Order: sequence, then C-alpha cells, then structure tokens
Amino acid sequence: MPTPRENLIRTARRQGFDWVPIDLLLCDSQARSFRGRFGHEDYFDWFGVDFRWVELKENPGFRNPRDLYPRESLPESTEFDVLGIGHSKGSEAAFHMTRMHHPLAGANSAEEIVRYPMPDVRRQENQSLFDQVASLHHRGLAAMCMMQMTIWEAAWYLRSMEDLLMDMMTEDEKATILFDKILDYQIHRAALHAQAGVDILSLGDDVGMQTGPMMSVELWETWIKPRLKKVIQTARNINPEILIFYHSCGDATLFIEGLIDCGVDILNPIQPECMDFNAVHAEFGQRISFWGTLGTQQLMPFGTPAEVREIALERIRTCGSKGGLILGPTHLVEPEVPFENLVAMKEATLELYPRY
Amino acid sequence: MNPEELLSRIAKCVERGKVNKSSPYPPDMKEQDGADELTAQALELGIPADEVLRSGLVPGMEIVGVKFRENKVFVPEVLMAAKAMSSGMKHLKPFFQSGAVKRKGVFIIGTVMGDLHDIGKNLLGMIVEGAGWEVVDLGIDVPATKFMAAIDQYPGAFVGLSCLLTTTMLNMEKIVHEIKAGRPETKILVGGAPVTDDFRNRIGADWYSPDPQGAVDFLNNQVA
Repeated sequence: MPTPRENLIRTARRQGFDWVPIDLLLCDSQARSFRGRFGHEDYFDWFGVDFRWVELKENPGFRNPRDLYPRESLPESTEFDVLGIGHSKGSEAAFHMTRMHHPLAGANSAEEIVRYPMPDVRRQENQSLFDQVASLHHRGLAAMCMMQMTIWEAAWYLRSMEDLLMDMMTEDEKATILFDKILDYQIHRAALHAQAGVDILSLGDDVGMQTGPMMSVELWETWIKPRLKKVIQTARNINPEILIFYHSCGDATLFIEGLIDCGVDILNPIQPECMDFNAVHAEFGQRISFWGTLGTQQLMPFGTPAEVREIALERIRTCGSKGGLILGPTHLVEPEVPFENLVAMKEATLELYPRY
Repeated sequence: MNPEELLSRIAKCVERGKVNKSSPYPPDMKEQDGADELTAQALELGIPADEVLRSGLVPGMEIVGVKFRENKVFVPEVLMAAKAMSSGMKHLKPFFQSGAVKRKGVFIIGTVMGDLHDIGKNLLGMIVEGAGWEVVDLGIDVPATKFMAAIDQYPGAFVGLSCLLTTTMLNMEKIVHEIKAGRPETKILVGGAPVTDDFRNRIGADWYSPDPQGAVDFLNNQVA
C-alpha cells in the first residue's frame, strides 16, 4: 500500500491511485462545530487528507505598518500581513471576513513603489521549514506550501485593482516596478520551498470571474504569465519533481492553455457554477490535474448528501483510473454547509476505492 | 466637424476608453483627442449638454456594457471606459447643477451587511452611471437601516443589492424584507455570484441580472 504522499503524487501525475485524495478547509465556526462533535479540531486527520501545510518564516520589511499608509486613516482594528496589506474587521455579520486596505493605492510616484519595503526571506531563519517537510515525509504525508496571491493578486492588494489596472492599460512604469518587486520576492520564496523539499507549491491569482475572465488573455500574457513562469522555473530548477498547483476563482477556462505552458500541474478549484468540468476535463485532462470541483455556491451548502455523493462519484468516474483528481469543496467551507455533505463527499471517495 | 460626427467620436472614445489626448491608451488612438477634449468641444459648438450626454457619452458606455456581458471586453476595459466617461462628465457638471441636464433617476447600490466584496458592485456602478443614472454607492457591509436612510434621502430611487457569499445571501433576504416592509414602493435589484433568479423570486426582490447591462436594461425600462 502506498503512503498518503505517494498516493497523492501519483494521482496528481495521472499515474493511478489507490484512493481518491480529499482536501477541505473549514471556516472557524465549522472547525468549532467539528471540535464539538469529535473533541478535537484535526479534521485533516479525520477526513484522511494526504498532505499537510508547511509554513515559511519571513520578516516584514517595515517597522510600523501604519507608516505605509500616508493617504489613509486606518480603523483601530486593522491588522497587517507580512506585505503590509491592512485587514480591518467588518460588522459582526461579516464573521471571519475582513476589509482590505491597499498601502500603494493613490501613490503617484514610481519612487514610492521603488521604496516600498518587501519582506525578508532567509535560509538561515528557516530551518523549521526544512524540519516540517522532513517530519511530514517521515510520516508518509506530502508537504504543501502556500504561495497563492503570487503575482497579480499581490500587486492588486498592494496597489488596489483600479490603480493597478490603470497602470497596466497605460503601460505605466509603476506597474512594471511593482510586478518585478513582487516577482523577486516570490522567486526567493519558491526557491526556499523547493530547497526544503516541499512536494506541492500552491500558487494562484484570481483571473476568472463568475461568467468569464477578469482580464483578456492578452493582458495576462503581457504582464502576469511571464513572471508566473519564472517563479515556476525557479522551483523546478531546484527540484524537478515539485508539483505546481494553481488557484483561480471563477471561470479560468481561457487561461488553462497558458497555465500548462507555464508548467502548472494541478488546477484549482474548477468552480462548477462557472466552468463545465466535463468539458474542461475532456479538453485538458491529459495534461493537467484537478483539485476541488465540488461547488460551494450551490452543491455543498444547498445540495443534499445524496446529491453530493452523486456529483462526487461522477467526478471520480470522469477522471478514470489514471486519476488526476483531488476532490474537495471549491472554497472555504462556510457556516451554512451541512456537515453531512462533507461526510457524503468522504464516503463517496471510499465507495469506489475503499481505503484500508 | 459636424455635431453628429463629434457625438459619434465622443461615443467611440468612451467605448475604447480614450480619456484625453495625453493618455497613451488605447495605443491606436495615441495623440488623438479623448472624451475630455471632445466633450468640451461639443459644448463650445453649442450642442446642448443633454444631447452630448444622451447621444455621445451614454451610447459609448452602453456598447461597453453589452460587450462586457458578451465577454468581449473585461474589467480593465470597463474601467478605462468609465474613466473616459467621467472625463467627459466633468464638463457637464454645471449643467447638472443648473438643471439643464437631468439624470434618468437614482440607483442606490451596496454590498449587503456581512459581505465585504465590491468588485461586482463597483462594475455595476460604473456601467449604470455610464447609462445616465445617478449612482449612490453605500459601499460594503451595508445594513438595512443605511439603505432605508438613502431611500428616504432620494425618494423614488431604485436599490441594487450585491453579495458574493452564500452566507450573506441570508442577509440579502433580510434586507429585501425590511425594505419592502418599510418602503414597499421601492424596486429592488439583486445580483452577485451565488444569486439566481429563483432566489430573487423567493426573497421578493424585483429583478435579477447576472451582468450589469441587464440592470441597466431593467432600469431604463422603468423610466421609458
């Protein structure tokens, strides 16, 4: 019997599988209710997830993040990520969601973008990353790292969508400077992850919307694709075996060919409300694998367990004996998803391929 | 240039996102006058401001709305068109203030309480504004009370509610009920990724559209 890591990697390469891997991410209230049910929050273990997330340590390039916002007065509740992007609380009804603040929104000079402090990523401070990966491999689990918001979204969150798109459309040097700064940062991170032996590099930028692409393929190919490709090549040059996972919300169909060209192995999440999974599988299923596919807009919150089972079985059958499917809800499992639907997903994977 | 030609060039500038002469976008219109200069010229020529709006700026944005629905243009092109539109609109400001030009009506928009997403709502705002409506954007995470206060401030206004999450669809339903209970004459449009016409029907809202231009069509029909 293969280890979970071996099983996950084999199916991601469409070389067969012993069981269908599952992935899911519970929101806080779902995790709490899981704990209420089972007395612990290790739902990855309960669902039999074949990988674990590993974390890179990096230091912010700023001392006081509020100094990064000369044009905006931020709410008291604002917290900052390592890039200096602000996240403030919404109303109580917003639960875990936060409102984003863009430090470079409204910046008029290229100089301000040049000066913007990026995080510091160092090998010598990251022994723990290497240790985490080694420990997971020892347990037979795959190691996956989070590098989503890779190029486009990182730039958008720093600069704001409106300013960034204006820069791109008018070929303003501010866009080039910002994208290149981000590229440099991501190359460092990708290299370190690859050196540490991470199995799956999780990249992503939302380029799809509900009914079509967010931008033209041409604009994506001009600004984003070449930089994404460099990040992937950096990791591959260090570890040719590393698997590249790529996330985009919405309808990303028109970008798949370009993503394959960049070296992406696995596409996530294939929202069935936006993309026709069977058509995408028929066209690209020989060259890319799929992660997700169970919709969180309709099926998971509003479907019955029988419906979840039916769709899950259909996905597994569509992908066939070579695999190329990691099944899971397309997005964070929100509070209104019945737990029975998650169980139905798990049981459907075991129905066709029991796991001993 | 005769007035007809001028108006059609204004429409073309909005459609293509040509803001002003110094804007390098779109590349094939470099060095040409944009919506900014051409709108000023049209007014100098004595074309009534109302006609500049209805036969120049608005038709340009309408084409963008239709192309966006058909996936022929995307967010960046809509944004550039909206920039071009507003560069022309700034010349019309005195005419709006004097009452010489009137908008078709007021459209109050907001993302419902609990939801902090705004891309779809902002696109809707740009396209509806470009269709000649006054858009009052209440922002994100908006409670029913704020919508009600805006309705009282703009009597006869239409209301557009947006959400992205299934969790906040429940809040959309509550807000629709509160508005309908307190201000029953108000017409409410709903939209956002998880929203469907069936859901619209169940919660008692008046119109659903999967794209901004569908909202424009509904609004225009209401005042036709």
